[in-house]
Amino acid sequence: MHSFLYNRKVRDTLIQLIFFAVICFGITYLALNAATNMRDAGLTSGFDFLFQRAGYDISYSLIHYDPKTSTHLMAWAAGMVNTIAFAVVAILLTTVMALCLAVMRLSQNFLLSKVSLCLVEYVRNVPILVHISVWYTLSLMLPSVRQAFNFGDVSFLSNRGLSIPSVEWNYGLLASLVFAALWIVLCFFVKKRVSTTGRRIISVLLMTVVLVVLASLVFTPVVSFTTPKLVGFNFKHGWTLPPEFIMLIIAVSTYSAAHGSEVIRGSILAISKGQMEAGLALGVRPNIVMNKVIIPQALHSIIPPMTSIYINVLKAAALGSVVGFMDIMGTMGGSSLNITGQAIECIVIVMVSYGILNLILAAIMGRFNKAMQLKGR
Amino acid sequence: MNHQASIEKITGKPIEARAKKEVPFSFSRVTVWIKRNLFNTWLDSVVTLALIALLCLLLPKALDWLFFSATFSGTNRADCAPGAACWIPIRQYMDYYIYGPFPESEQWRVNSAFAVGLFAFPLLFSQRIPQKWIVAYILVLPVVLWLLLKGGFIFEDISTSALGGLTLTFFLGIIAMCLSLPVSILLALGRQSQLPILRWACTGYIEIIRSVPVITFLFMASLVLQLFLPSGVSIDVLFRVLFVLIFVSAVYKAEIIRGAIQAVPKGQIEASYAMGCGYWKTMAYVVMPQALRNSVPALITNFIGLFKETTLVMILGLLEVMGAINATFHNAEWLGLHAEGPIVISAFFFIACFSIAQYGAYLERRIKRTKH
Repeated sequence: MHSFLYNRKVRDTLIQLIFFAVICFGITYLALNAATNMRDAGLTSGFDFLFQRAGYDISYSLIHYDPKTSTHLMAWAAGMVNTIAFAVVAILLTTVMALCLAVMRLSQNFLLSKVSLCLVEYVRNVPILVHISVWYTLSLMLPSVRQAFNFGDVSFLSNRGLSIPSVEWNYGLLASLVFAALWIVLCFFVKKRVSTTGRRIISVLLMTVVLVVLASLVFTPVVSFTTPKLVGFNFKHGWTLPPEFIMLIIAVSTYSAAHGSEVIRGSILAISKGQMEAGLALGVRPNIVMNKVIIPQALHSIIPPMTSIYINVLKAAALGSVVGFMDIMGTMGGSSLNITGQAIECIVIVMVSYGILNLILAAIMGRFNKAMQLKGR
Repeated sequence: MNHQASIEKITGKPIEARAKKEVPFSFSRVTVWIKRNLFNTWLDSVVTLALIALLCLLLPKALDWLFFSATFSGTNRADCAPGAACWIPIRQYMDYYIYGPFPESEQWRVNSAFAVGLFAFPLLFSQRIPQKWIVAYILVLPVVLWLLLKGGFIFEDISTSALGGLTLTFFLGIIAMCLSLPVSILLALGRQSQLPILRWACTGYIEIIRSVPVITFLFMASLVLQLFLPSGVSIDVLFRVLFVLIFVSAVYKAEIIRGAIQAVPKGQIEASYAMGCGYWKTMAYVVMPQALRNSVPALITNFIGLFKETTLVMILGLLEVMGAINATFHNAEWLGLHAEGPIVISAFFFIACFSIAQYGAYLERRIKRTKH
């Protein structure tokens, strides 16, 4: 018996069985409690509530959402689209600002580098909630629609938010398909050019611009812009981004950019000094050494920590509920949960939604990381 | 031994420490420095001049608003000077910001809790004190803080609603930090384990918690947790929040510690097994001491994150330092002072987090030095 218990395999199996049993017991206990509590409250579990009328308003939604007729499923979709829109804009802004701050910090200019140091240290040592509340308070001080800040009659910033020109796609289905086919064909041609110059992104962008301009000149314009116009007490036409959305984006992206700039700076400093010196000794200009020698090497130690910063940006969308921006947490995990009382289902949906978004983001960054990896022999 | 000592041993004579030469001040050196660091290229010059102009424009105004024209003493709103900061409420409510609604006669307990907690920083990461004392301190610290701040045993019990302000921030931050450390070690070991069920469970837990915002769990703790408890049982909101902070931040610490465990050379583990030590002995005496020591800088960064995250409990209506300061500015008398509250909150968090971060950076440099 003694030797039986001390057998490695037997012991491993036993430990795992006990662990598994404890977890199963815990989950069953909680589930039984939940079942009793829900029965007492007169609730039935299940996802039927998703197809019922939601009946609450979402302050800002990119897709069509009508509080009178839309279902909880639509509310979830609106929250999801809001989250994705927020994440895309905030991640782009984070990257740009982080790069700027890092470049400033690494600059030869004493004053510029110290200004960047102060900004970064202040921003990253103050909780994000403070940033959000500061920017939200600032947004309350924006002028009314009539006194809106005017950016060249194209965009306006007021207490209703930022009004920007809207972009409309003018082509019908058939024309769009032809356009897409043409674009894909041209992409193949560009591929040849890429193999000789290696400038993939620039080539594709250039080609797209040329295609759009040609199509616009030959047929009808591909896209048309409608600028916002002041009609009565509000801006008509164009797109209006509400102040809470803009302020949340600014707060979250400055906060993440401060963290990101430290990552970028650290990675660039970690590249040995000899690389720069070797490049300079060969007579290459400093900015080209930076772009072609230092940055490519730094990039693959930047990407993994940057990924986790991006994931934090995505998760920060949930903080929008503090200032009234509804993401999945605000719609499904907040209002829907309170109205239907289907707590477990709502929380599970929220967690799965965030999980999926995270996985997608991680997969994109993983692809990017693989592409940037130095190819060794 | 360091390099210098070994050279001294070989040559037999002490090498004089390279004295920092006192370079006399000269005007030309200053101009060279200025030229090199401020006006190197024409672009540099433009940037420098623009920045100097901006600073000249903003700094005097900001300083004037903050200090020179600001009101520091007075009793009510009428004493505030217009067009400048008004620090009267801050001075009036300072005690409330620090102690919250803690009973006044018991405030020495809060003070001693601050002392015990802050003493942890120099002590925990000192290299002279044996590690078992440090471990003992980490284990005892939450208990002591609990007794001092919450009561029990010989101390009078304090109601959870009496915890607020800096006291609550401190209570949540330090206790969550100390209690999440053992949980995170177990999670890290579980994720590295040879036993598949254990490994899958730990990995799944870590990945799920990491991909969901903390605020979701805080809302869950306040709204949903009740559903899973037997009827009649309810847990105070403070403990629910503490529970969430512990089990969420443990996940991030587990990843830090896992990295540090993987950095311990495999030969050491094999050597330990070859000496006849079992799994737990190997982990406790060979792997963990090294892994924990090397993860100290990252753990400090994690602590700063946790400390900042405690502000989120404000959303659930617990008045930690940010909530307490905001609450006083929602007071009818001080309504309309928008900037003062955030400035004080930012200043507090900046001072606290920046000094902890500097300490972490110092430790990191020291660890790097001892490695070579």
